[in-house]
Amino acid sequence: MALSDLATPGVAIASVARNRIPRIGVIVALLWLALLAVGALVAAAGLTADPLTNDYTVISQAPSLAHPFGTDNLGRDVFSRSLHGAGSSAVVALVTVFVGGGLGILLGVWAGLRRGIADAITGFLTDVTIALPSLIIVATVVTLAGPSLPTISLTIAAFAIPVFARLSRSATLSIAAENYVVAARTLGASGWRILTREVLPSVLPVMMPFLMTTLATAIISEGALSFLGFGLRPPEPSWGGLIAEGRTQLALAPWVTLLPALLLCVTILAINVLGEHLREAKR
Amino acid sequence: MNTNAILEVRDLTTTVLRHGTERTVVEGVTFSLTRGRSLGIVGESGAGKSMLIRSILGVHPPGVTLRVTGSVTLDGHDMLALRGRERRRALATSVGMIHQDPLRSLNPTIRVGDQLTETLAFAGTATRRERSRRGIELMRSVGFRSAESESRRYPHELSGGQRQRIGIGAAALTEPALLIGDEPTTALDVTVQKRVLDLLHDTRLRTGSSMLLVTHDLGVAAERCDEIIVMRNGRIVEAGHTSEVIEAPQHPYTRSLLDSIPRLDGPRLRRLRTPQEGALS
Amino acid sequence: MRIAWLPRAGRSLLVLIVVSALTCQLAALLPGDPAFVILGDESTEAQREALRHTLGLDQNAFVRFVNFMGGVVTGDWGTSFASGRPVLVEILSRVPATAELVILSQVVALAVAVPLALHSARNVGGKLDRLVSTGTFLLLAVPSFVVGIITIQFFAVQLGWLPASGYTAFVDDPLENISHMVLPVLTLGLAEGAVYVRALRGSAIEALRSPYAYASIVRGASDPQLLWWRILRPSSSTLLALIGVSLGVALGGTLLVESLFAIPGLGRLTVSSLGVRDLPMIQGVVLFAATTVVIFGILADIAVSRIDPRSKHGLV
Repeated sequence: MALSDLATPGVAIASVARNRIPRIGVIVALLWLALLAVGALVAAAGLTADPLTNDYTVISQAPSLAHPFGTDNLGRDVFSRSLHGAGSSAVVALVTVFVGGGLGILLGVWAGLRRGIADAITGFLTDVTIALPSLIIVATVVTLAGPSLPTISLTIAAFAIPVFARLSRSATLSIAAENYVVAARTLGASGWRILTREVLPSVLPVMMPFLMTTLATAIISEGALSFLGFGLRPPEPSWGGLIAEGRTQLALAPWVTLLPALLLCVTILAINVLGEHLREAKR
Repeated sequence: MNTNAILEVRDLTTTVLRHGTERTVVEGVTFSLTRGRSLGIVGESGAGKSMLIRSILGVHPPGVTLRVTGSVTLDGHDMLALRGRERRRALATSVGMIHQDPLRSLNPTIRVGDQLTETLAFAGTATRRERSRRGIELMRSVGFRSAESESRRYPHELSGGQRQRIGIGAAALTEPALLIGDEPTTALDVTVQKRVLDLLHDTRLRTGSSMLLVTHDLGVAAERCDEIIVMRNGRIVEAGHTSEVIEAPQHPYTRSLLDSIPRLDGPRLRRLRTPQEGALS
Repeated sequence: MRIAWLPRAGRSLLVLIVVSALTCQLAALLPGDPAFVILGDESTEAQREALRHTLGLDQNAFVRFVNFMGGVVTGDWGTSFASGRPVLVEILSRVPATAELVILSQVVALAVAVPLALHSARNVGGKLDRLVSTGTFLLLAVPSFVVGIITIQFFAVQLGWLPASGYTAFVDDPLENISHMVLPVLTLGLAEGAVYVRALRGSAIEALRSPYAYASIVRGASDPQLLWWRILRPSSSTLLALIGVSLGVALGGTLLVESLFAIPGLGRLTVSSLGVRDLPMIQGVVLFAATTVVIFGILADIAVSRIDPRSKHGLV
């Protein structure tokens, strides 16, 4: 389900509803994401407990100072595993936004400026991609090509392209009709110059809230994929994988599932808060 | 106290509360409208005319917090005190309103015949068949020749003038004691304006209603109303019989409004003077 | 609208043909030898050769496409590696469970979302509205698999009210069927409902600010009359489009919820087929899912044109 959201700007549409995001909420959201980024970097640098080492002396221990998120049934430190999982999620999310969003916006702007056959082809490819069951395709690709972070993130990113293309195309169409673009054209500015100087600076701010939405859906998609068992191979930590692994011990050691789940939800919430803030700022 | 008044407004003050700040949009407005007569409320946009009407009816835009004080007596109803079913009944039976934008004041998804008679549907006092018959009858009376088929159209399928005739028909449905026109001709072509005003006049004669005509056009008010109120910044700056207001305006703002009416027989056209200039001269 | 019909249907058909083309090349598009990936490294060359032949990998892409399309049109979607049964038969046998889950969850989501959205829009900024806005905003941050885990833990494990997983067909035991459906329907419906509330609330606020809402209130409409007779219809275009997308996507298989609650629908079929690398089955599931998306996209368009007369004239 989650991945299909990539093809549905449902959350973006829903934003007509005005509910003010308080300034403090924006600050807290930014702080949370910064903290998480630092945590993921610290973990990646190997400064936290090894996420893969089993320690049979501390099996399924509740959260404590030594293990803030407790340990799982193999004695692995859940906090460290969560931070490593945050790293994987961040890679997927950033690749989706930069590769999927970048290519999609370029494609949409190109279609919007060129119109004609370029527009028709882009529109058709968008229709095809939206018809494809994204979660199934990504799972299939991962199954056949092997689960690696590049495969997962690039496949998820591919499904973000059409949505960005469609949105940036309509943004371009409205901007291209503005006087200054027409003027630049009349003055004989090159296509590239119009693109980089006139159109992109106007299209990008329009796309910002949607980039945030995509960040969130990419993280949820990666989580869903790992949860179903089509993510990184089991000992490698990822949020969806952690949540899925802990399920069997939910009654005995709820922290193994619930704390990574909480981390995931709070992160999505923080991103949504920033997205909503950008959307409000745009009005 | 005017005992023969259809509408009696006393010291009506409306304050919009927003983010801890207060803005008074209608301030100490007092007037009364005698049964059967017509009153024009004139002022530029932002003068508080529409808010005055909303405050009289007690129907406010969503999401706005207001404080309304004073008293409003409409056809014997204490409008500021009425709640729930009584209020809705008072509105439905005593008031017929014609709105500014005939397209946007018609629901795009409802057939015009059904909208024309929706007052009856809301009150639940007539069957579907009766409503449809009444709707066709009303549409004929406002000049639709093939009313049966036209009543089944949607608003976007009609012309601007036709839409406003639907609006007038809907307002006249219950033969209300008070017709309110909120800039009923502003959104229309000049040629259509006169026809709509004439129709409004005919309808008034037929139903015996009093009329409150809100307009920014002093000329229209002078032509169609017995009395005139001039509003500015939420207050009444001038009030009186039409002839008095037109022939001997007391307030410089009224004079500047008068001067801006183009005339064929006038000495020459003058630019609209700002009141500051007026006050100094 | 009637005139615009043919191009719309033609375009959808073309989309499905391209999806089929992509699907049948799925194995060939990926790096490495699919036969090797599917059979593993303990297979013999003869086994792999036989598999390549079954999958048509020994032929060129065009021939493979023509054969595949021929099969799709005549109802021969191939044979499952895992069960040895025809793919289409397997898929159709899984539809009832998925359809029941999806339809029930949509009904629940709409039954809750529509009144909540309308009434919070009517009192925008009020207590209910703030509660609804905040609640749905928080809900959007919780992925369905987390919701599922929490509902299982709370309602099934701790309270023991309902079974955590499994499925009984309605015709076999209606009561058992419903009790198994409650939690998955709740899980799926909650996520959909949150999106629906926000979408409908936004359009309803806009409609309530319009002069026609003012007109109806002055004509004596009560809140329920205003909301249900006069606001719902012009506000529901976005909602209908969202429902179309949700239905289309979900009827192709709700992978997460079906896996969580062990419901033998299309989603579980997909996951298990992926697990054993049952390529013909996966191709069939992808094609079926794409078809439901396309069909419900068209149905949503029809519904919007029905509910909003302006859309027939391209005014919306």
